[in-house]
Amino acid sequence: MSIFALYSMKGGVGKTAAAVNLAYEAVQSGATALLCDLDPQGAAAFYFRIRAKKKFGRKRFLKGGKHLENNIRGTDFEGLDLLPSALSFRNLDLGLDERAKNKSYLKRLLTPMQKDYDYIFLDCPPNLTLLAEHVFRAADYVVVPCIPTTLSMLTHQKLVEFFKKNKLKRKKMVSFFSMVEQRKTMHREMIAQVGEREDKFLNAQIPYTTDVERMGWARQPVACFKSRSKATQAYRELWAELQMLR
Amino acid sequence: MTVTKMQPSHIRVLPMITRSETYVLSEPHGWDVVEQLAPERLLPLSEVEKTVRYYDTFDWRLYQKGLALIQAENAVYLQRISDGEYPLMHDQIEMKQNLEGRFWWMFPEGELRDTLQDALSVRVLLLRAQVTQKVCGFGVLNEDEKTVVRLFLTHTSTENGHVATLTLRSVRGYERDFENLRRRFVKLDVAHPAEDVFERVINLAGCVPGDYSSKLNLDLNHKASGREATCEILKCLHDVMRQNETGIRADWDTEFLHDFRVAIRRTRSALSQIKGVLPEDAVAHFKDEFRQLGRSTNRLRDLDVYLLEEETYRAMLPQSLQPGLDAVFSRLKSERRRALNDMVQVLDAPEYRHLMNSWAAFLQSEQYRAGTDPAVPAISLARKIILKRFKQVLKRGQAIGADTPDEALHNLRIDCKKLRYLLEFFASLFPKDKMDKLIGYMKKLQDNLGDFNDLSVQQQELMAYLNEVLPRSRRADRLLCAASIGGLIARLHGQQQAVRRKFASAFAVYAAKKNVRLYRDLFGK
Repeated sequence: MSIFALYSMKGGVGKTAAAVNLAYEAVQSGATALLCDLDPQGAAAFYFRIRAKKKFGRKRFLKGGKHLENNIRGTDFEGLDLLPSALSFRNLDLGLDERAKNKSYLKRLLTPMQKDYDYIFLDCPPNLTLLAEHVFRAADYVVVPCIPTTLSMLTHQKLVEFFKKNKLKRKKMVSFFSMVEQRKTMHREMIAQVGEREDKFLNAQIPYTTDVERMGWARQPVACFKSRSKATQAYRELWAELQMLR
Repeated sequence: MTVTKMQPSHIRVLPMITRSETYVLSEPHGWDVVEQLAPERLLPLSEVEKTVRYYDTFDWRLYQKGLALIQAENAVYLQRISDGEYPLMHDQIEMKQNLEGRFWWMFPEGELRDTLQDALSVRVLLLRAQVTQKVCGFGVLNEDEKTVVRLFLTHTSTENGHVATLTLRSVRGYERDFENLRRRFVKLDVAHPAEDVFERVINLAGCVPGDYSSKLNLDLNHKASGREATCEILKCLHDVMRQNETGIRADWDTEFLHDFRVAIRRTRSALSQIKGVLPEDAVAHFKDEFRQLGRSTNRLRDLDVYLLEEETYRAMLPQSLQPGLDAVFSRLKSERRRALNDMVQVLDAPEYRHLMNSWAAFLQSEQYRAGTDPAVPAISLARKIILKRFKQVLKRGQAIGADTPDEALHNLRIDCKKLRYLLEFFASLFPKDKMDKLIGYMKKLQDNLGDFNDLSVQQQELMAYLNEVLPRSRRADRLLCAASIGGLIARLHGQQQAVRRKFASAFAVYAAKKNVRLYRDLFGK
């Protein structure tokens, strides 16, 4: 089993869209996957038309085991299940702080899922808190979407430094360009610059298209309502690259 | 002689995230059922037509474990029969070729292969059924247009007919919707509730799952006379012999011959042990015929056993001596080819055909012969001969001490075999739990005696090779061969002594009061 965490300090960079579409791609070849929504906004569940059970919240999530597993729900796609988030997830930090000082509690919560799933995707909220540190330790790969702008790259650099300072394996962190607009000179130049440096950026780039935005209206992964979209193709390539990581 | 040991079975059961239930729809229902179940919120998901092949061993080892090995399009997977359409997803592999003729070791490493190893042991896979299936999948949606239950309507057909099945499959976290739909389905009353889906599908291909077993599955009538029961037992053994002929001829695997031999041995044992129910001259004639037939199978089986044990033999020797066995095994292999030819000739000869035909005719005529002698009830006949044989086993066993010659153990082994056969012949006349217990005790003692005998036969065979073949051989590695064989004999001898040392305790368990009392209760007057 591999755990991929979709993470970025910045909001609105395409984390959830990537998590949803990558998880969808992952099960296309017969594998099983769980998408774990850690973001209290609950966008992932919305995309899959799933409502969380009423009593589910932070407490049950942190209890783990049956309390957590009973709240997993199947999506419309066989092999792909979702653990919805709840508004109370906004306080996940508090619960984690009580439980484990070594920041591996999330990993312990996820380990029993190994028997049911080949892949787990974590859709993370956009901030660098205690939860994020748990995520970094639980994930085999921290996948970071990046818009090719100066500010975005600055945040990215900060994350790299954070990894260094906290003795996290740099190899874990892989990034890709998201919401790329080829017609913008700045985007093109930024991508070219990064290519010269040795930062770990994947080749696949997710373009800025309305198709991704329309996911909110179709409530499906892009491939399901627009299989020939550039975005569909890009997510497929991105997944192919992620699978090759060793 | 049976040296092959079955591995303990531990089929890995994958956790079931989803519930799945399949029903056979009664004629002429099909599509209408799906419509009635979810008229408004129904989303067509998929429609596939595929050829589906089912594989199993001749004696249905997978089926007996509740498993089916299925090849559909290019995918090969195991399915727990009780789960209907739901495959063990993690065990899926891709294989286009026909799997008939494959043993477990011919599959790529992985869970599928491990499961097959446990279940198949030395038996080969045969194609048991081939059907065409058209599967239509539907999602049942809730008010958010989210799929909460999946439905699969399957039309299975062969030239023999057609059957429609409906599978209801839950979506994780939406179990309540599944339960509601299931209840609505049951109310429609369109399913055969007791119908076994797997069997129905296999039947369509003209095949009956579990139609062969090497075990004697007799169900004797409690009021039957001794003659009727005896004829029924012998008829059953006759059928086993006939059923295995094709497999021996085609040389699919070694167990066809093995089962064939066991049936002959059981037949001979029944003829000599059950006295006074069949005409004596006929019994003498057939006993002799079957003895000869049995003898003609000996060499091939012995060779099968050695070849099956090749890996074990090699593992007994240090690496340096292992190449010495190459010559031995290549010789055994070519000898086996000749032995198989001989065996096929025996089966093809008019003598064999005549024997089997006259034997079947004889049993038939005896079965319907009006009782000339006052018919002894089978149950009292069984009691008498089983108790007699049991006493003999006890007496002979108790006489064996540490210095008794090996011969005595050999005789005891034969007696035990005879007793075991009697227990199996008449098992259905007595309470099952008690008979199972008796046979269980018996088996433990027989394992000890059987191992002892196998080890002694193997040493003899190797000695014969050492004394007769090797001195005439001009092979350059003659010395190495001799050393390897010498090493093997020493190892086998050591093992044999260890087995012999365990005999006393094995017999003590068998001759314990508890077991003796069980015999007296069941078979004493």
